[in-house]
Amino acid sequence: MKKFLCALLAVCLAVSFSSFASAEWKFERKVTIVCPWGVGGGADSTLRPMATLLKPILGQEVEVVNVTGGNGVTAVEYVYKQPADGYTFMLGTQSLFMQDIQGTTSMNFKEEFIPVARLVHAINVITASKKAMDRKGYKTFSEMREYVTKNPFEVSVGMLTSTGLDGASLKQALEGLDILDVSYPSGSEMNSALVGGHIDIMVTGTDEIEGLIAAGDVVPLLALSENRMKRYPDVECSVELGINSVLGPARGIFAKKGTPQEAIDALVAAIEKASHDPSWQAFLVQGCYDERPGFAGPADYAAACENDYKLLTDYLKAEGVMKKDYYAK
Amino acid sequence: MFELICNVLLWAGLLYAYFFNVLEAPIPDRTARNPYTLKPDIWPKAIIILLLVCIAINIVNIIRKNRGNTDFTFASMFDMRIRRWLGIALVVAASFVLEPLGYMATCFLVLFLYGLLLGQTHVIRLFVFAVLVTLLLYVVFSVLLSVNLPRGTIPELRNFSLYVEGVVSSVKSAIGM
Amino acid sequence: MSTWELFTSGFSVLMDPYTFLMVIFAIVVGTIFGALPGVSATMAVALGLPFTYSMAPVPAIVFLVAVYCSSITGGSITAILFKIPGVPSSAPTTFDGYPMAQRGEAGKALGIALGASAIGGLVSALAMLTLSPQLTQAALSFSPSDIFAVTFMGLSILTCLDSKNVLRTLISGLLGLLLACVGQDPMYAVQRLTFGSGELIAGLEMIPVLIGIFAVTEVLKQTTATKKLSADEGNASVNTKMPSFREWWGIKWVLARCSVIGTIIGILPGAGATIASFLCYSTETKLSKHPEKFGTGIIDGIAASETANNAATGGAMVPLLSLGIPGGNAAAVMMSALVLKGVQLGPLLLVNQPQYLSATFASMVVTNILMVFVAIGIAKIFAQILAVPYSYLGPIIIMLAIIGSYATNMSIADVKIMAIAGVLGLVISACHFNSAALILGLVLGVICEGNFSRAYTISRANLVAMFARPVAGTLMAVSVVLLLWPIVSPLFRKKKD
Repeated sequence: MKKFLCALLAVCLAVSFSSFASAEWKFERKVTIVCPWGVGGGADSTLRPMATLLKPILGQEVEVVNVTGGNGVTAVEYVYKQPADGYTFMLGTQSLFMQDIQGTTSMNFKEEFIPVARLVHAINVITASKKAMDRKGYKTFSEMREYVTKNPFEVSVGMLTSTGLDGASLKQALEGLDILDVSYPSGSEMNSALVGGHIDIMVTGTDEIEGLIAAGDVVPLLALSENRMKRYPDVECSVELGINSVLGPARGIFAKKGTPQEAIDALVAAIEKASHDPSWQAFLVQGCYDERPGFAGPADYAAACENDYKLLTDYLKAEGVMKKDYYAK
Repeated sequence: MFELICNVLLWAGLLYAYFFNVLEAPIPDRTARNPYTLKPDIWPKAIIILLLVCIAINIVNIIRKNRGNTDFTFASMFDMRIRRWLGIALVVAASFVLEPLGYMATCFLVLFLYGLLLGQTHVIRLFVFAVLVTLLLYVVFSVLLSVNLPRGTIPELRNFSLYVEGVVSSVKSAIGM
Repeated sequence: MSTWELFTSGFSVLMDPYTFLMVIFAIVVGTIFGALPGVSATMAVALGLPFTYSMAPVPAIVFLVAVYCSSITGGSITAILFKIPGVPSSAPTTFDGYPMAQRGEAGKALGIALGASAIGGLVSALAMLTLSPQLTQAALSFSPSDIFAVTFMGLSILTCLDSKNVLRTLISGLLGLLLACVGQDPMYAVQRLTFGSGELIAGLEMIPVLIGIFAVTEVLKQTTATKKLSADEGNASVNTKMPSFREWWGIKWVLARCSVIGTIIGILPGAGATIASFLCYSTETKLSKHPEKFGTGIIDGIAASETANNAATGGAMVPLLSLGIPGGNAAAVMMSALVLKGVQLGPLLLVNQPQYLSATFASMVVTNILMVFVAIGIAKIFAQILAVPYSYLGPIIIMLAIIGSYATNMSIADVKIMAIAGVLGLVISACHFNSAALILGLVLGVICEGNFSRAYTISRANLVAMFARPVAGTLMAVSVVLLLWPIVSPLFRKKKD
């Protein structure tokens, strides 16, 4: 409750300041946004169009810098070393929270970084390989679940690092089932393994595989969301099946603690403005990011992050790899 | 002798790593329970075992080959010239001062000092060369390729880098880039 | 659409003067980007992205492909002249290119590198145009155990890299494999072998280690007082004599084999140009009649790695265009460019819009031919730097090494790793270990372990089932023979005596 009140207070402050905050803070040189993942990946291709839109609004160059490695940790350390002067921000997802909870970051990410604004919030989908489906004879998610129950350790599931968000998502969706988890270092390797029938199902966002779904090589089985997806109305969603799994990758901007509030406010205002831009709206549709509300301001995003932190702490605790417990009593 | 010492040190280091450093964090519970996963310590451990065997054979070979060899003394270990030691020190030092001093100062110092080390005697010419190359590399990597070269953490040097960046961006906008 | 129609429709895209000019521009900047250390082919393509914002999708991909192919080629220039590979895939080019340049045969080395690149690129472009559907099916049928077998074969050739020194070469390769394990493991992100250092969590990237062991070690070796350093006179002038036709004819099979292997490796997602050039270099060492000459500066070595890495470019485009799955990082950047333009990638793309394939093909053909001339010009400018006295050149190389290892990831840790690798290079040569084998182990280590682990899980821990596949089984059998041969063959010889 206390946290909620704090958040509420933050919203009020943000709202009251936002009207003249942008007038107060003027970006005087180029703004850098660090992307912890490589060029051409999902995170990068979300950030770049936003950076392009922000440039005319802020009146300064907005540069995307890819600092990759260590599942995002290298980027966190890089930004942490930069001065909190309002000219360096970073893109973050729940993967960074998980690294934090597992103790791989040298600082407490949760305490040293503040959520600024969420850009997109995607839906994870469990998809199946057409080849493998024909071989094993299941057609829907429920049939697949039945198959796994009868044949433990027969179905292989692809994901990007099993201690990542996909792993957590999957654990919730297939609670108690014996599956073979197979980690892949990149989406492209996993997608081709799925199409080739080397793995049976996988957990991912749908942006990179829309074409494969359209061609019928990849079949969506279950959307891990509250409602069915607009583009796949026939695909069941987890909540309607009574499965409590709605985790999906949320990408947002973070700032180092101590960054001038005026700079943060100015950036939030600019991002909000950019997210109404028609070209951003078109991008959301193109990237399958239009299924859930994307933009969220500091308070909403902070609340969402808090929620995810709790959920992921529980998950990692159960896996026995938790090092930092922010919720220890 | 140098070779023998290196091999023995490597062997001992690997043995230590085998016991203490192969896994430095717990394996996720789900992975540990699944009978069909390759645990993350198997692969490196297999390599270390193979290495221990191979290096042991190598050590035996070295000793056998050098039995009765009069040159096989400690003195040969310090064969390295003093200049090379200085070179090593300079390269390692450069990698450590890059963060605090930033690109500009580090680049100038490396070019100047290493030039001296390589026997350049015209100090003034070397000074001019170091300044010019520092600027040239800055233009190529920072201005044209937009690589964010380190600005340094010492306030004066950081402000200097920011000042140069400001100059560059105003020149850029003046010529309409 | 018939092959001929594809052919003509592709070139008609390039007939547009604006597109053609942009391709020329792409070749020039691509070659320069490629030649600069620290700017990989992926970064070069990413730097080319802003130019495509105003283009239609087809010219955009034509432009990016031109940047991609020429940057892979440009990497060989600095590899040969300074022992710093401009792009990672040119690393094996340094093994033979740099010794040749040292002997004053830089012109010949560059000529072979550029010509071989063009041939590799053209062969794979042709394969892409005519065999795309078949190649796609082949790529999809590669299971993790097959990919493991391919990389394992690459590793087993290790023992042939230096036939006089099998044991030490083997140790070097194994050390490389072990270094690849440092950091978070590829499957479960468990920390390994970091010795508590936060800077090692991200693992050891190949580029800093490579630049350190090659370029920095070389400068350190030159830093001696006993050797009178010619402080004022320049190095021997760079001989720009080009290779003769007879020399080209002598390596015809190298070119043919490496074009094919390079294309196939390029198709496999997760492999790519760097793996292709390393595998081809080691394969050619094995197949050569004079393996002992590899590494001392022969044209076969340069031809092998440069043919292969350019052949991989065509391969990488195949899964991107026919499935919407990028074959490598550079292809992933191109994919993001197309997605931003609203192109729906996937198996239906080539059915509905075959001009993507044909235009890519046309661009690759034009780029691979024109880039030879452009690259020769750029190489001549770079070669001027060689004429600078070593007391100036040495420090420049050290600085390029620092920037090159920093720029990849903006990581100070990588610079430290580079410096330590430079010192380690001295130890390696003092102990007669083989730095090429170490790098090969480091490059193949991650992909080798990852695929073994995946194959192990998928086959439910059954090693027999894992290799009971035609590709994996054959390759593993060959690998075992290759591995055991240097150990067994002396026994046979002794019996005969």
